Amino acid sequence: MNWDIVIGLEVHTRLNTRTKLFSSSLNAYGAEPNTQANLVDLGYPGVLPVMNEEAVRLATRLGLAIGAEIDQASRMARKNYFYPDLSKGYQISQDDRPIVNNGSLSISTNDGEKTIRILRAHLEEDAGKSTHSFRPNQSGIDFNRAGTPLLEIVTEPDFCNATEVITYLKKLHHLVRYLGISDANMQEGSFRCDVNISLKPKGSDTLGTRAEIKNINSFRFIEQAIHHETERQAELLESGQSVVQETRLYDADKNETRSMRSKENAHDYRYFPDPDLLPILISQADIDHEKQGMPELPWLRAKRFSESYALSDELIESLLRDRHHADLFESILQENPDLPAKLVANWICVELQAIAQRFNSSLLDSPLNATRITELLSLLHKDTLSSSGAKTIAEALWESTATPSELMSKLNLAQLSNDDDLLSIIKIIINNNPEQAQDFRDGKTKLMAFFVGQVMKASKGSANPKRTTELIRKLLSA
Amino acid sequence: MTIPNDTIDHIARLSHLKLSDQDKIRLAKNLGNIITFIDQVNAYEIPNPQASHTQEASQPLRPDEPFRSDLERDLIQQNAPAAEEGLYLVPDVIETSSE
Repeated sequence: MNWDIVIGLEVHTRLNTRTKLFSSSLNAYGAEPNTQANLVDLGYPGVLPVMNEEAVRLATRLGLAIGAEIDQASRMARKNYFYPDLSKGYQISQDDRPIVNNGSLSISTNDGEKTIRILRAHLEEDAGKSTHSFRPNQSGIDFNRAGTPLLEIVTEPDFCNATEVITYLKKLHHLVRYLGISDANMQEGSFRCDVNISLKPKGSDTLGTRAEIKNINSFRFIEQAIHHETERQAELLESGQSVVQETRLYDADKNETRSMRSKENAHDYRYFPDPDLLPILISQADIDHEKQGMPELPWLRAKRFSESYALSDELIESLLRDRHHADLFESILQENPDLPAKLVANWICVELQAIAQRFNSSLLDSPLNATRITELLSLLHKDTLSSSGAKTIAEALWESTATPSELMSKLNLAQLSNDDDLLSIIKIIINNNPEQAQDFRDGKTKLMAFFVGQVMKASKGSANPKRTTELIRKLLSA
Repeated sequence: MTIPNDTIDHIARLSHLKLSDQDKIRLAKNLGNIITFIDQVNAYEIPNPQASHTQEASQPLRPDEPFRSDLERDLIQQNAPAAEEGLYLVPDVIETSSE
């Protein structure tokens, strides 16, 4: 039997704030256990949560980027469940009034553009982290993660296959990084995905019973989990059994999903408005201000780059992978509009990346700013520098405050491209080697290498080889 | 009003509480009294029942500035029944779920 696959996603992304959602403990990964957990994070009696304004701003930013409605009076709710790494006995989340409603992201599929509806995105605090069997029969709890701000982004069940899911996730992952909303580091759990899957007979309008696969944190595992779960459900349905509504855990080692809890044991979260927190009022002025401060959205910028600069799609994608790189690209072309866009893009995405990797660093953290790169590329474009000379200088720039021109003189890398200077050298070489010159004129064109070599030797390697070749050919064919 | 047994069992399970049969009888009665009280409150007509907060008040927001608390750890952990290597120790819980 043929089945339609129906998939909806919930993504938890950790917001890029300095402090937690309701306390001024640091929101940073990897600290010594419990050194970033104060009395609020630990849920001590008598403490009160105070909302972090930056978390509200970042949630608003995401909402604007996906064309959503911002609830100007959203509110926090308590989600009650009992677990050792949730010390209060409830998670502060949002229920009936999430901050972001009814947005969408458009993805490219084999059948063209497809709109994925985003039902909501809500703010909530993360729980602590349990290490099971840390001691015999005992778990160890680290509350550093407790209270760190998450935005849970929930789609409608609009996906039909794993490819669409991965395309959407990659686009969302890029978007939150690009806009500075989250570092979305998947290894550190800053971008986690729950997948809801159900099957229905092909063409049917009735949704089947769904299973939820929780907390998968790599694109490859998400794809595998979907394939596996789809097969499992199809086998059940085809053998006359039914799918149980439940939460399942994906085990990457065994490539299988396992039941975590079925509906009978499902948590009853007993949501209610958190009496410790008043509604979060966001004024229209706040929203407008955030809209104005928002960088150009990556897909609009890609379109503009494609129209203005005649770059390949791959190169544009590569430039936009990091907003800083795209900004650099535009600043450099602003400083010197004569530079070919392709040359600039290639240098940012390929040559300078390679050097950054050698230094185990990034362009953003390097001393190479737009002005220095512009000067370097202008020297290269004018043929004052050879391509290998430019690379040598780029590397030197990483550890120096000198300008590219200064480094060029210091390292003696200036290329001789001036015709008069080159001709005076070439004429001497030809006069000193009359036999080879005659042989060349008689058709022994292989001797070109000899002449270029002599010019290189005479110029101590600084002659522009391309121009030298052209000039020798011109003189000897005259 | 008395609370049905299966509701008591459900609430006990959610709270991870082990109740004796006597506890259950006592709690069914106590919780029933609370429900009766709420029913009495509900009997009054209130013009705007959604008013859980003063409508004009809004949540004051906090600037995103850290206040380091790492010196507090040892002090706080003196309150814990057991802590080792900086982690709080609790009995293993088999059923998983951090949300």
